[in-house]
Amino acid sequence: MEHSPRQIMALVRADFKDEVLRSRSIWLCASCYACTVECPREIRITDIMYALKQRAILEGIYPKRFPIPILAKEFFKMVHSKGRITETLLVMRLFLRANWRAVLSSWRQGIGLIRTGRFVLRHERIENRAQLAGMLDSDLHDERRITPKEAA
Amino acid sequence: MKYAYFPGCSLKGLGRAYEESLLPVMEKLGVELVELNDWNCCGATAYMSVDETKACILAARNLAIAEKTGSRDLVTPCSACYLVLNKTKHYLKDSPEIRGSVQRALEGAGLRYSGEMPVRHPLDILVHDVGLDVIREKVVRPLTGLKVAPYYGCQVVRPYATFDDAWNPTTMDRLLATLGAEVVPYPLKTKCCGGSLTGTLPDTGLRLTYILLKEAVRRGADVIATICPLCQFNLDAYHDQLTRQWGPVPIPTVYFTQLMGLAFGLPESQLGLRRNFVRMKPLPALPARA
Ligand code: SF4
Repeated sequence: MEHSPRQIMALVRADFKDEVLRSRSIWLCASCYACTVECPREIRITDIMYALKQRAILEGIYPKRFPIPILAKEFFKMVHSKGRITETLLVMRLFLRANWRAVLSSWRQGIGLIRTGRFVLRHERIENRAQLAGMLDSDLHDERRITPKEAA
Repeated sequence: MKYAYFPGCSLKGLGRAYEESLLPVMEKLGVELVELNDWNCCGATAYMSVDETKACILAARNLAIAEKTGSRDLVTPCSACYLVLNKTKHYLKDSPEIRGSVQRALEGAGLRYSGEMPVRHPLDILVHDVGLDVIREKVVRPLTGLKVAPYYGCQVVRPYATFDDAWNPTTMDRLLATLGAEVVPYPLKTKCCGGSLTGTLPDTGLRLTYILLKEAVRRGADVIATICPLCQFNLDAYHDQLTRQWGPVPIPTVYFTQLMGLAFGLPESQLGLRRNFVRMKPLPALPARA
């Protein structure tokens, strides 16, 4: 970890915007809310981590080739086009974009998933995709928002 | 008892054993779960990392569909879904800006959401609506002698749950004890399983997973009971890698609903237990009744 959550909060307060947004550490937050519940100053650390991730993606300055933001964006795109996530297909996309060697090291896991009937190859999708897309795009008037194309 | 039911993507994919065991167990208890029509992905943590307002719109579509059913409560078993749907409810209340965007999106699609419908976890329903006494009556095959480590993970108990404690939840402990199981003390019960880091940054994520498994073994547990599809996957599917890196931690992780099914005498083959990488040992045969 480059920066501990404490350091991230200190950097945010001292306005070190670039350092924070480029830090890998914000992407390491797994969103477990332990700190949020614990913080004696009631700082909503998890939500701040989210805000930083959103900003880093919007400004395109997240660490490139780092698998975590890549997963977030692939997830975002799959939801836009299908309305649902098919986990096995999502992970395959992640591996192809971020780390194709992971495909080789996880082949046994893949076989295990096939054996246990959990490897889904057909996209799960909703019926009313047009409705969902319209809803998600209804928010475009705000120029801070991003479209799936920009996220690509 | 009838509830609107939001399964979430995982229960149709990697976590299908959760739904396979949840539905028959609820049916046995006279609880009817009515799946939402054309629900969409809740967005989980990944979507929220890209865009907050859109994440709330995504969740709000499900909340609006749920409200249309006229049910009193919405039930969702996956921790990420539980968190996101509750979080959206809070945001709609607290942030006029988000409320505005979400209302516009809903109206444009001909949907409405009042913000009132409670979003609840099956554990909450089972312990507080159904009740442990009713559950006890259904136990035909007590899990006597089975040592279970109760693992709650993070997002059901933090930060929005009102039905249990954020650090030392006990609803599942009490439920498992009602089934006759021996609940071992498991101080890591609300620690993080690594979430999606196990896939994106295995060196970091898998360490968290390993610590959880190791502690359960050290406490003498036969099995870990979980309430979340991602926790189940992380604790079950990486044993190869974990063994290579740190040594074996051979303990199965199953859904609490699978243990309920076993205790209710439902056939093992119908509870999704074969979907595990690390299989649970079959329960010893019942002693013949005198
Ligand atoms: S939410 Fe959890 S992972 Fe994220 S900063 Fe807080 S304690 Fe760390």
